[in-house]
Amino acid sequence: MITLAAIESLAPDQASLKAASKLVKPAQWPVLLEEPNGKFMWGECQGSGANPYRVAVDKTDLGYKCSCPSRKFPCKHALALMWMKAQDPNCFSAGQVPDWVMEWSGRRRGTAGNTVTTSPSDTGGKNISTAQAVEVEKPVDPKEQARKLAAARKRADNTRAAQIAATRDLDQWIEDQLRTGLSGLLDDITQKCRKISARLVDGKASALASRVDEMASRILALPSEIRSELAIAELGKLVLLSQAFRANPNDPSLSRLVGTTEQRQVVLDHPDTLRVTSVWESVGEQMITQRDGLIAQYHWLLNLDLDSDQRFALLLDFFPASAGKRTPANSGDQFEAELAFYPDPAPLRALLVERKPAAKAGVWPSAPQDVMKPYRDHFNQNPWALSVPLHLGPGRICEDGGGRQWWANEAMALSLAQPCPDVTMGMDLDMAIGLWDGWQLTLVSAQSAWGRLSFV
Amino acid sequence: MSEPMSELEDHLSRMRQSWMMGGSAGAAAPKDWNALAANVLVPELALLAIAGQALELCFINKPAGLERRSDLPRPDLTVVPDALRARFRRTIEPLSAEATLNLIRLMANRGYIAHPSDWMPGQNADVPDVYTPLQAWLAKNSVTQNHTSLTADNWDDWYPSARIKALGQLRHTDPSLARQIITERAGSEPADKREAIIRVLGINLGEADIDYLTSLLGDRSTKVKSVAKGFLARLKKSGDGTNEDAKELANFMELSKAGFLSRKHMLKLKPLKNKTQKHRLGELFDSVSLYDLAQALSLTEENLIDHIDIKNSELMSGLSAMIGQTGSDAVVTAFLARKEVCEALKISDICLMSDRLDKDKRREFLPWVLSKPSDFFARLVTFMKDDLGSITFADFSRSPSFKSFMAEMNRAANKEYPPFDSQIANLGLILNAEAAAEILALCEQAGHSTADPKFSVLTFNTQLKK
Repeated sequence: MITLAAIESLAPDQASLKAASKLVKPAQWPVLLEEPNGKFMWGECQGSGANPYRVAVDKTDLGYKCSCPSRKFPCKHALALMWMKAQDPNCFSAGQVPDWVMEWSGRRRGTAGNTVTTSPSDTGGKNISTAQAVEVEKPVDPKEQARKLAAARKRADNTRAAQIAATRDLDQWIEDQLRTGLSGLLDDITQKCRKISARLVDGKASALASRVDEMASRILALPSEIRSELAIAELGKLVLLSQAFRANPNDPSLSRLVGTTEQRQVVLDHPDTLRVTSVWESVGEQMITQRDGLIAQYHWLLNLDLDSDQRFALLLDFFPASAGKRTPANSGDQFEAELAFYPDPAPLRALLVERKPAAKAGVWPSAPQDVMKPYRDHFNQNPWALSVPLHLGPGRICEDGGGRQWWANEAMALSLAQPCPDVTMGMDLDMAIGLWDGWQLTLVSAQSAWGRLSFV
Repeated sequence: MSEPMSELEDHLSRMRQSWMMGGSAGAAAPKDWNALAANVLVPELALLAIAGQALELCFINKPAGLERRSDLPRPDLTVVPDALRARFRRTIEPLSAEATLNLIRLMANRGYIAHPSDWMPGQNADVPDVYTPLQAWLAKNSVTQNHTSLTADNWDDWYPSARIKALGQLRHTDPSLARQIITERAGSEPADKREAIIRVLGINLGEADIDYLTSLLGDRSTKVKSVAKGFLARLKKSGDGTNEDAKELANFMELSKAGFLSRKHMLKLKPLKNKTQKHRLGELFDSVSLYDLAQALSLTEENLIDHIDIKNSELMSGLSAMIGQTGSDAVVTAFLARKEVCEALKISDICLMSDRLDKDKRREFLPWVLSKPSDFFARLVTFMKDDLGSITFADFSRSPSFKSFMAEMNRAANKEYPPFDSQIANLGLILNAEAAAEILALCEQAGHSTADPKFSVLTFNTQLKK
């Protein structure tokens, strides 16, 4: 049985209890379910990331799991879930244990459960009542507020200035590579990219730094005979991006690509934010480990509304590798959701505002006649884009003489970035979704006479 | 872009060379590009940006000589629905290869095959026939598609497991042709494949096979020799010319009166003196044929099985193995036709003979097998093989194993108890969907969380409706 005393004992510190107390509101949990007569309870809590955090607790031993990147164990979400159960057991509805909870349960079998003491003297200064106490707000000092605003403005201006200087450094570095020879760059690309990336970090151009740092692996992933071409394309995009940013440093889409991503609430509060409510299908998820140690979680959604112009959405989250394995969303899941898109001339990245089960199953819309048109259109707006989702019509996975695989139809063929399982080469693909980076296609999922295929 | 594509490619190639070596690419660039770049602070960077865009956008060509594989053969059964595929993948993830194959057999009985992206059979896996074309495709042997029947000439065109299946079918319809093909081609196969091929002769085994089987007694593989010897024993030909082992085994036994007043004689085991004798007895049961033992006892095979002391479990187990391995089809049938024998046999004894029973016969014996106590149901899984997922709750609840299962279920609630994990996994393979649902409900009532992975097979069973 979950008690407040047990939660108090389990919490790592008072600050965690304080943070958890702010989440003990069922309204912040679009999902709050438990297994009838069973041991699992679970929920989804919207945090600052694109996807809500998934939290599960085993009631028998207070084992827990949360998908948030917090390094505190248990995190505030797990504590809050237990807290809600302790306070009001009836606020959880009955539900069927989802796959991600069962997978977590399977992985933790045999590991020790949490040792919970309930002795009041053993709380280490942690106190739930104190955490729940409402803080008295200090009266607002207008002068202090004005001073803080001015300081924030100055910091922002300084950051912009540093970023602009950083892009000029990047241009100079690119010029130097052209002058001394790209063969020298390609010979030592990992180290060279790392060095310039470090300078960009110093210039507060963290997103640009990450892009340059990862550029080496993108180039090296290609066959050697075309690496120089990709190097030219990547460097050319950096030049365009740097120039565009200097011309308009306050543009949110450019600022996001150079500096940092705006906070979730900023996107939600902006009056011009594109919001799309539709039935979406999760078509695939990629977890990519970056050189900086973070894991980038790309969750691709397909809009099943046949008439919508917004065909795709990307939910993008980052978390440290130490946060452990995350349970990916089930490819093929359909749900109704409102998405808010980050401002962009060609919106793609989005936030999940609200989600609920789809009333009925939807089908994929037809692929466009000219499958590359969306790519060209996106590129017109974002000539520095690294990859664009494509909706492909009927095709087949084929092989060239060197064993490399291609997605091909009658008219065209796109080289595949990753080999696909042999069996998929025996299937006609009615439709496919993939990410095209100008050189290779990363297949994400497909529809065939054999049903749905997932490639990532 | 005003340049024709090949000229553009030429410009880009020369620009790339300039930059690779170091220096300006202005001389190699198209004139209109230079005109555009002249308006920019650093013209070289402008040329780089334009060239990069051109390289990425302009050249998406289809290479010549792309090959497509043949179509993946579409089996007759239904592919597992998309909604169940994630659960299937999760269910098989922790299973052994054998347990996975058993689940595959259960699915086939329900009319389903695994999606090829989720699971494909290994080359030598003993899978339901419906997977044979997929095995062949996987071995990249698309030529198989073109052959309607196996011959000695097209032997090499067939995938090994498909060959075995084809030989088996041929033994039913034309056993001598099958034997002829085997005679011509088996000798060139490695030992493990050769053994599987020779075993096919067990179908419709007859006098015409004796000469070939006798020739196999000189095979370089002991396994092949053992199979040949067993088949010859079934045909009442011991083949190896010596009966010393049979005589030794006979000496372990005696024919004595069943009772003081009885006229009937019974074949009994003499009391064993030590462990060495016990060990030797086991060896002899494994190596002596039923025919030779009968000869040594001056009995016919039929007389021998008529006079077994069925109360002696050691004798029953030893003879069950012997009958299963070397008894003729008629003897196996006669042995199992006796009610008192069936009642005396343990489930392990029955499993020793299960290979001698075809699908219909196994189905016939299933209620009787179910009447035997079974600790972990693993032997039931082995026996049922082609009929997995068919036992009803009514039949299971009446069986002696049900009560012990219920006791284990209560003992295992809320704690780790590996024996129960094995039981529940095997039950998931033998019960029908409704029975599986009943068991899940009982486990929930007993306090188990059926979301626990140990219930995966059982839960998957309930969702796999025919």
